[in-house]
Amino acid sequence: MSEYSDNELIDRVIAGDTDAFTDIVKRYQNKIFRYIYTRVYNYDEACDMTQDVFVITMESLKTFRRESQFSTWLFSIAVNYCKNYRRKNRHKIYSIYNADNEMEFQIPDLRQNQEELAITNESMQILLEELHKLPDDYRDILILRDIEGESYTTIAQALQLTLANVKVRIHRGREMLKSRLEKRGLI
Amino acid sequence: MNHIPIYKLSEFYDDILDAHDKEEIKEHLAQCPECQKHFEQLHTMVNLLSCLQTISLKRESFALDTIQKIKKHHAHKRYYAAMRGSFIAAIILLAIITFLPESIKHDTSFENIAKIGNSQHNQLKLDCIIPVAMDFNTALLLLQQNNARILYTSNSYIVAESDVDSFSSIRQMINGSDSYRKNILSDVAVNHTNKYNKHYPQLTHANKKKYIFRLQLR
Repeated sequence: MSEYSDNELIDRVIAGDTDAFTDIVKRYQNKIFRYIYTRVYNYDEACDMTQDVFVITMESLKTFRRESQFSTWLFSIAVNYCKNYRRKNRHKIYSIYNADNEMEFQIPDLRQNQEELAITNESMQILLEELHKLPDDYRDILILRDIEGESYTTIAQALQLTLANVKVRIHRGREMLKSRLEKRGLI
Repeated sequence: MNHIPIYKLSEFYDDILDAHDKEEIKEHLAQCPECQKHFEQLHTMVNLLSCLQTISLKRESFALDTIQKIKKHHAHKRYYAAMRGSFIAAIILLAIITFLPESIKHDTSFENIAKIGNSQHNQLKLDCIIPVAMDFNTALLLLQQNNARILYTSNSYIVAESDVDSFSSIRQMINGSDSYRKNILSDVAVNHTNKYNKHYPQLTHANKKKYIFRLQLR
């Protein structure tokens, strides 16, 4: 991974060094992919969509005013792209029972790490399914807060919400997911 | 005992409460099994969610593929921009070609006088033919001095259009010169085909605004 900061890489890309964008992609590809994957729950589609997000980012890089962190700005592009994508493909039916999905992520064996939880591949599938079923607004916020570990302020910037709104959505999203996981016997 | 509101537990978990609230919740959790259960469930769920951070792209070449896609996208954009430019240029050219003859028609400058094609010239309805014993340049000068529009020229004649006043002036000038043949209208009427005969009476009437005539050079 490149030792350059985001802003340095952006300057190089704007100056015409397209290959510097490779480092930006490498740095954020998994974060964007995770977000999109939890929305569409289809590996190939999520890959294509992630690429599209980077294409859009590259195109609009000159408009990045550096008022927020690059990662926040990138994430807001991904959020808007997904919203538009969903609008355009609203008739498409997403199957959450994709047989290939099981192979698409690795579950760390936390038992080896002497953690309390014995997380199996199956429980991860259940968690993903239930997360996928949440309304977009709550899912987005849980992804940012509980998966990516972003701060409340960053989330507010990325989703263009007030801090109070972020707090409410985090709490409601967690409540919704908790009751769903309780019903599935996961917690 | 009053239980802790769920949203407070969530904020306590995220460590965004002030010290006083935090202390209060800690004390309550220590003695309330129900709130403790909620908190543990929340803790378990967030732990589970954090495990999803292991989801990653399996494709090694993803970044390079993305750059290729970006380059391809740019090439496409350039191609379509060029296509759009060509299309607009073609439209403009077509418009110019379509409206060019019209603009020439209204151009009385000497350089443009012979640009009307034969096909258009043949469609002109002549009001009269005036034989003159002038050379081409003299006849042309005479017409231009009288603000006549030159519609067509050849080695042996000039077709022009003018209003009533200009036409009278041209006739007078030709009349005054030796080259003018007397009774030109009747001459033409006798010598020319009947095709133009119907126009001659109108020449003497003031109701006609424009005349199209041919100066037949000798």
